[in-house]
Amino acid sequence: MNLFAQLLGNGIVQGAVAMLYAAGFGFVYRSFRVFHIAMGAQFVFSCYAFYLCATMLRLPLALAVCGTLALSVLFAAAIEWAVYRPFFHKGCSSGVVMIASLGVMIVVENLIALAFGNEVKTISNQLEPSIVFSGLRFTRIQLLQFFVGIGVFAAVGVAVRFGKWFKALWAMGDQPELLPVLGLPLMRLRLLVMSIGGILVAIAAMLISWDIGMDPHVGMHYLLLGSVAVFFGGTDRYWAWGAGAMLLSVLQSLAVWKFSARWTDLVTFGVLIFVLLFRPQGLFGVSKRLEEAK
Amino acid sequence: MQSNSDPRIIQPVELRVENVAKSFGSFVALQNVNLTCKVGQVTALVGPNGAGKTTLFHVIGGNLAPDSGRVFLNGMDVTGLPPYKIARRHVGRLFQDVRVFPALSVAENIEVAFLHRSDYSLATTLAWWRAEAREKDRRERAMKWLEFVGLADKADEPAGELSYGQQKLLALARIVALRPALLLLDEPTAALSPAMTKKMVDLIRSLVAEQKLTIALIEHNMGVVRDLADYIYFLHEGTVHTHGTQKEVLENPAVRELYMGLSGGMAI
Repeated sequence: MNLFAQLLGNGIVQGAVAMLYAAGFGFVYRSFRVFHIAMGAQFVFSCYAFYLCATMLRLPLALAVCGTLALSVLFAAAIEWAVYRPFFHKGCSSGVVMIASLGVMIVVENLIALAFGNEVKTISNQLEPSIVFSGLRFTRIQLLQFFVGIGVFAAVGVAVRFGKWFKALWAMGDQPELLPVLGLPLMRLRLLVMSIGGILVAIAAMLISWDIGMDPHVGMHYLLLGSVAVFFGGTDRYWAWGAGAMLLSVLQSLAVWKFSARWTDLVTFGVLIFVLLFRPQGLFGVSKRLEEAK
Repeated sequence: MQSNSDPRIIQPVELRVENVAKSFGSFVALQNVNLTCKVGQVTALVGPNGAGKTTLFHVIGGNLAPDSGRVFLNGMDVTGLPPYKIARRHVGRLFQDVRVFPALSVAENIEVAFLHRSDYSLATTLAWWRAEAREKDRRERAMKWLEFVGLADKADEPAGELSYGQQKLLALARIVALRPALLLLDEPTAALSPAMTKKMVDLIRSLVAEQKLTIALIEHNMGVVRDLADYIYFLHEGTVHTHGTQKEVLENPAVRELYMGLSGGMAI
């Protein structure tokens, strides 16, 4: 029972961070209708930006965090300017953009491997001592992950719910060409989407790399989890992305309880296929009229 | 509806297009097109499919840059401005196909039209103590336009659940919520039922009568053109073939032959 509770707790902590990178993927997917594979590159870039600022440049923590966020926003903007925007202007299909996005991930991973090497890098966090709650043991970084993950996701959720500009981002996913007709600068809004996504992924990347370190090839793992969470929860609702991420993380953690860590991906994708077979719109998604379904 | 005493009333706009040409490779879509849409009038653009009507709207709305020629709003050259800057000069556009934001509610669809205004700047957004008043004001403004098109009772429903005709009405309400002075309407009655067509025509007529809007109208339904148009341009193969009053254009033998496939004295 203790093991079950501990794994459940660990799953919830992982879920809190997963909500952030799932939202990072979800914003771009929902607004651009592009399968944002480059999110994996964004994740790796943010990990190494944090490593650069915190370990190599030895900046104070607050400065290292701000520096990482700034670099990550620049990186996200560069993806938009150099890749997504030209394809958008040419009216390319989402399949073509997805391949280009995959290309970004492969190029960035390899460049980072060239620059930093393939071995695992760690960031000294000096937060190792654990805290015990009713028999459950959590490290301080886990507590940080939980509270920052939940806090940032909730804060962005409030902005999505009440901020009218977020309505424009949602609207962009349905009718991008209509926004300029309503006097809204589409290209700046696209940049805003990439920046928000970049910040969310960067926060998750910092929390994870601070805890378990990084290597140049971790991006694909988090891309898969984030994207699966968005489709599992439902692509049209921000809260559904978070719920999907939390449920998947808990499921993955509990899979270790009954099976072994080797089978977590089987559980993840098995559940995804099962859910989508019966609810194509995701667990918490909105069903659409036949005329709307594309 | 906006009363004439409203201090925020928008100045009327006259549209002038001079010698506009546009080609796509070897295909000439527009060639030396000249037209004027006068204030408070409905100017209809008619012609067969492929005549260049929608391309001309794209050029006026900033979606396409012309190869040559200029577009003027009240004498100001707006050629080549991006679409959002044209929209901010009080030009509204209704597309041929219905375009709403299905994931947003009906009222939110209207509120997106308010976003570019100063009350959505960062400074006003951060003024949280005025948030409730702003929200109430936005809602009231959205409801005003929903009442105008008869969709007020559906304000909180997802726009994607409206019927096709209702979505067209919502698209019209959203465009007029921008408070345009010039409206570009691309086949507003296409695929509508006769009852919905009549409603759309009545709404357009009231916009002209009450707000003195300038309207450029692309329409294939000659009944609608007869009901609304003050002046007609007949486009054929990218050029203005004929223009004039309804009588001058619709009874022109060449127009009847080229566009309607009628000859002699056959009635339209």
